[in-house]
Amino acid sequence: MSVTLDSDRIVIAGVARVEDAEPLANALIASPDRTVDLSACTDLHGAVLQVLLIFAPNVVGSVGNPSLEPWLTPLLSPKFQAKPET
Amino acid sequence: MDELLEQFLIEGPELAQRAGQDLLALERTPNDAALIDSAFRAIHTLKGSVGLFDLAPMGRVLHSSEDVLDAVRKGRLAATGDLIDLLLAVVDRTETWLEDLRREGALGGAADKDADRLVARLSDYLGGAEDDRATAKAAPDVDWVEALRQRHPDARGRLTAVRYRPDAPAFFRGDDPLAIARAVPDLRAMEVTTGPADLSADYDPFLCRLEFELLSGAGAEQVTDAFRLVKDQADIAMSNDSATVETAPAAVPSEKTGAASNSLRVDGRQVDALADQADQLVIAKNALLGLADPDGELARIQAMIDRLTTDLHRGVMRLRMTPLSPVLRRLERQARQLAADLGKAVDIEVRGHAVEADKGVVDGLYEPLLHLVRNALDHGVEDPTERRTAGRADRATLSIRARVDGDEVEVEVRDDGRGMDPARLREAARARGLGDRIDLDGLSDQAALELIFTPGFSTAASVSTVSGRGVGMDAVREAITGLGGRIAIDSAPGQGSAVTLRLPLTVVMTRVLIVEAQGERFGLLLSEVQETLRIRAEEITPVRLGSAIVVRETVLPYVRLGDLVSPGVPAPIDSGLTILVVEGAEGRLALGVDSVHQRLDVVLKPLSGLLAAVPGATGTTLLGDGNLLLVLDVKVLVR
Repeated sequence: MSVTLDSDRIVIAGVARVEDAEPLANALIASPDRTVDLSACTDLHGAVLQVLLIFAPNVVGSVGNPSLEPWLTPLLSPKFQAKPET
Repeated sequence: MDELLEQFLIEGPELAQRAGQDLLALERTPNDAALIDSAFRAIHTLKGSVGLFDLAPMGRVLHSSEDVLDAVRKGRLAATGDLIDLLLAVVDRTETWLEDLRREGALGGAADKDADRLVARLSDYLGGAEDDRATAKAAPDVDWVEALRQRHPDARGRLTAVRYRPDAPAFFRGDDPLAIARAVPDLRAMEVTTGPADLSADYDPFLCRLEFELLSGAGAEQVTDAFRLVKDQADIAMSNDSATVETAPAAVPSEKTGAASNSLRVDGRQVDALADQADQLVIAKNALLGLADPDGELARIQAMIDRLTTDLHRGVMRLRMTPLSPVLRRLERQARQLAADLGKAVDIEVRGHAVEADKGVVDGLYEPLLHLVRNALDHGVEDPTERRTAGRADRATLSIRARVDGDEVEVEVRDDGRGMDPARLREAARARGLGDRIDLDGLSDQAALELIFTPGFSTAASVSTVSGRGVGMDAVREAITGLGGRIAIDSAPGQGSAVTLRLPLTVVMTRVLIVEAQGERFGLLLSEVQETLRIRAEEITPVRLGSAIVVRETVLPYVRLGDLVSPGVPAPIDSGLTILVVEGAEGRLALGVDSVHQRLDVVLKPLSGLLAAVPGATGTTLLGDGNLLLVLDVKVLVR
């Protein structure tokens, strides 16, 4: 499972697969204000991206994958304005 | 030939066919959303492919058709019979264009005019339906390319733009649209959006709502390749800095089902060549038989080869099985057109699209069937006024039904028109001088109906443009028997007519027994031979008009094969002493031959030319030694 709940943050770690879309969506439905932390994520499936686009949570960190990061950053950019929590 | 064009010439006709099929089905169930969608997708995909080539007239027509179908899909336009007829005309025209393109490398000369006419007729429908959209859709749907380029001014030069809209079950299927999009070579820009979604607990994370717009520096061909598995979901267009869009989508078919990926497209000629070789192998195998000592090792191996070649032959024959649907669809469309040309109101009903038969049989069926359909519509079906006078429904029905019956395929063409009058047929035959040859008054009504198969017989009072072009029912019968089939007619005045064709499903292997009589070899159908016996000349007892022998206390008529095939030639005293007990037309009989040779599996070729006149002959086959063997049918030979 690469989606884990860490107090009010949802951490996506490693490769987020299609089956991770559901727990991610459920976590965001339960409390829409949660922040999603992508800094440990190396790759993600379209279904996971869809959840991020539809629920538009605050996103921190960026995917550590040079073939994905340049495309993903502008897509999720409005949310990047939020300061990473410390 | 250009590889893309080659591919297009394979896929184009398939798409047109699918669209035609959907539209015909739609006519019966006008509100079937799945059919509308399927037709729309076929036309859409076809239009996309057309955009890659210089085929502007075809593109225009398909574009308008797509708009019309889209309006139907969204419920703004009703799928009336007239509209479907028009769309079928588009499909027909498209098929003709594709054929022109294949043969001559270009659309026919009148393409522009034809296209204008069709587009004008299509616009009539859109005019009424498109008020809410005004002219938005009239502009080419490549606006998105320009908009996309404007949003990404950094991406310059000649680029390939893609709009990729995965369908909703994409995730279920295991597709990752994001991975597919990322795999596009030389990606310069990527936009991902999602449709509106319900943010409640009802949100289904496995339903794909993603939409991608991409720009790539790679050529259209490479980009198309990246979307080869989801072709129908991607619109691909080339564009230059000047933002002039050169060509539109490169979407080609959408066969994603497992069944499709298992099928192979093979040139029919290769299968034919293979079938021929399998036939030859059967012949060569038969030659081996003559060499083998019946109890030796060679005979054992021969038996094995025998089994294998039979299997191989059967397998190859199965490869040649093709569905009847293309023939039936063409017929249906032709029938519709003919009925309209003749001003007759006819409901056309076609069944049996899934029936399969040997390619040779299927290919050979179209012409005879078309002739039967023409006859039925021209001569059988009356004008609406005539029908009304006769107290019948205005609309006539023409049905074409195919079905498999045992190892035969049966196709019936039936109309509920005026039917045929045996008395009138007798008169017509007399008027044409057939009375000299045939005892017309002695004919049963059924036999009188069959007069229509007599060469030179035609009941049409006048030659119309539709039928009566010198091709009579005799030609139809000839074509059907040439395919190894039979034809039958059933008709009653005022109740319509039905012509039934029965044809073999495959080219079958026939077991024959080779016998010799009067120094010549003949094949007899092994299924008709019950046993072989050796007799002495004195066992043959002359009876009044012939001879008889007693076989196991049963008296059987005795006939020399030699006397049947070359009557009048005196037979030597010791000939005909090997007898075959065979099943004749009127019971069992003893057929005397000089000697019995081996049994063979042969591919029986139908008789043609002079051979067709040989009494009792049912077919020929080539022997291993290169000689032609005439195969006789005892039932016909001994009457």
